[in-house]
Amino acid sequence: MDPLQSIMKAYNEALFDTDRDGALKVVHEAVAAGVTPEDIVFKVVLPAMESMIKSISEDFDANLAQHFMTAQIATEVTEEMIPKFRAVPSVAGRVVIGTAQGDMHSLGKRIVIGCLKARMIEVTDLGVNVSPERFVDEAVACNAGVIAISAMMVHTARGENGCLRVRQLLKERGLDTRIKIVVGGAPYHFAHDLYKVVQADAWAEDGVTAGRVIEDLIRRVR
Amino acid sequence: MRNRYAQPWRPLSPDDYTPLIHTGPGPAYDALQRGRACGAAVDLGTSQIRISTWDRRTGERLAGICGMNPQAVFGTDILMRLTAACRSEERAREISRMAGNAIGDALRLLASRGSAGTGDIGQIMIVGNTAMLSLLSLKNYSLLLQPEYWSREIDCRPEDTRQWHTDWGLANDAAIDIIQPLGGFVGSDLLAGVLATNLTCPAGDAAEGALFIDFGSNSEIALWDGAKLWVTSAAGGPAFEGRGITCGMPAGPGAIYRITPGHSPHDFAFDVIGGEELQGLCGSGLVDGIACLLKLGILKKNGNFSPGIGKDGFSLFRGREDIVLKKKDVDSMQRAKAAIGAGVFCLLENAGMRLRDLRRVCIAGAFGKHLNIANACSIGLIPDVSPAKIELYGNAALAGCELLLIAGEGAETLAPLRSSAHMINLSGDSLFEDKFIQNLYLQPMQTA
Ligand code: B12
Repeated sequence: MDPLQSIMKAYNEALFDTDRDGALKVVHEAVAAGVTPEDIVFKVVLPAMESMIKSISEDFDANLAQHFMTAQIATEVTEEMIPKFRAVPSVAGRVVIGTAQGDMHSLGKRIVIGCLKARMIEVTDLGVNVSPERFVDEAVACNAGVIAISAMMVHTARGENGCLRVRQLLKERGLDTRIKIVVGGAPYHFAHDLYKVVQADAWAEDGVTAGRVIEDLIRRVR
Repeated sequence: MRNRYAQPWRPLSPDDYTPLIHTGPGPAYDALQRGRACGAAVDLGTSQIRISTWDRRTGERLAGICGMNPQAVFGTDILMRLTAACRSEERAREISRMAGNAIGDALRLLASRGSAGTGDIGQIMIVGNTAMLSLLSLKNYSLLLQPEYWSREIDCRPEDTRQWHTDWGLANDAAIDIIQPLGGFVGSDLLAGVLATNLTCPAGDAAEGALFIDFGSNSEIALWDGAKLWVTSAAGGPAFEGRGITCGMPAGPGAIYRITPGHSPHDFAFDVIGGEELQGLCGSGLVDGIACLLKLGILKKNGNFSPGIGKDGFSLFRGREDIVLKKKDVDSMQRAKAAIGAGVFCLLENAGMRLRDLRRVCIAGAFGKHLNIANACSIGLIPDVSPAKIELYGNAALAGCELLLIAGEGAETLAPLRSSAHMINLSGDSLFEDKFIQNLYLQPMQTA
């Protein structure tokens, strides 16, 4: 078997068992054996996330522990590998992310951040309970193409101080062709059209998909 | 999900009650001063309403009744109801009226069954979570959607109770006391539970290190460290109540409340409430099911099934209707219990205590008295302490409310608890996140 393939297999197995130490060990051994950091990120970590997407779309039942570990391990590995890259990697795009005003749930956002970092997307974390004004101001300040809003509760997803207001501000400031909005969190799982109701450009059901959706949006604004 | 929620009022059986620490006539019951002979205690829960009537002269319970909170049509959790109420004043009044009418119906039903006549009732005490109380009294409910108010005191005293007097058939001089919650996210139901379990034993009685967990959709946790009462709430979702679970149902007739391993590995024995035909899993059955599969290696620590078990999940029972457990059901339980584990950790941390400092762990709420302690410990639902330290209660909030009724007042009895209470807001607690993730795994609770 191609050595890279057996590394991938071992890494995937560790991920499926949410075995962080196992996954890191696979990576470290691979680097020691001469696999380049670039290959680790682009040929092992990212494909592993992709295959997570596949298994999730086939089997709707996502498992949270597994999600966290995939995202966390991916971030850890990527952050460890980037300094070792031969050339400074080009940033795929910039995103600001936060939890909607009135909402203090931070965990969903955490997974999404992990997945974005693993895809070389630069993320600024605005924290929780973020006002719509701050979302827009920070996006402008960071030159971000995407505002990502997490909301775990129905009223913070639908409410007038959430995504709806961010959209209004973008329009008022003539930014809404330059900055896209993506939303996510529990309420969007229950109503798949909710993202349209709150005037977002897209939503994603999990962190792994979020990475892909956001990459797509970044491409659209460029 | 199967709909097994439309249940009429059901009488409370002796087993439903938590034995009261002191009964008998109220400390200073004075027939002349206190007026009418009877009283009623009400636990206004998000899912269920429990009411008992008392003879205040003898300090004896006359009857008790339990039914679903009809506000559920506006959503099963408090936020959905608060959001609905904030949409219009008319809607808010409708939601309030639903709870009010339910209490009235229950009181009349009890009267028709020979318990206290509504006109004989001299006092009604009501405990509940802050959202339920504020929606009932139509006071300050809109504040509860704003995080700034969650740790603050929320006034839930109604402006005027005359309408209730009329609707409930009470005499004009009957007192209706809504026991004030502690704050936005900690209701008077928690205070009542702490009272009923005698968590803060009188001084001298070595009972430091006592933990109280009231399991529900929004579980509340209290930790007594000998001087302070640390309290919090951890919204884990409705899995403990059997809601949102493929074959879940509330603890009622037909619910599997206990699962034990049978003769062969994939064979299980079931105990069903009411001894009826099994229909679904209530919270304690779900805990047993998960713990059994974990022990058999069919479920892994991270919540995945062993290879070969597909998306249809695992059939615990095959019959006219299979009882299956799916990965998403296990996941719901994992999330819910992770919130509890992280909550317990944060309270211990604030009190500067360790698990070994706990002398008592009091479990109340959704699981009733059916919880298998060993199983609950093995999946990390409750702290992993010696089983001798664990006390199982059914509904503790009603019992606490009954104590208040016997005492004849709420304010004075609860004053020491209120003044020793410190609320911990888990949102924004930097320790919470990592502990939540750690506690997602099906393993003993991680509190260090
Ligand atoms: C953990 C938790 C808490 C913790 C939060 C701690 C923290 N630091 O985050 C604590 C205990 C503090 C808490 C508090 C409260 N909570 Co809470 N909480 C939960 C719980 C158990 C898990 C939520 C969570 O973090 N999930 C983890 C994430 C990773 O899962 P996920 O949603 O699948 O996330 C994925 C996707 O949604 C997506 N995604 C997420 N965000 C984004 C963003 C973008 C841009 C994209 C593209 C994708 C994306 O990717 C993620 C990763 O794959 C849920 C119940 C449950 N069983 O889910 C309740 C729940 C969300 N809470 C609820 C409630 C009511 C509250 C409280 C109001 C309770 C109270 N009375 O005090 C408070 C409010 C706090 C606040 N202001 O926000 C309700 C909401 C109900 C509703 N109808 O809206 C829930 C559903 C429980 C329930 N049924 O009652 N809670």
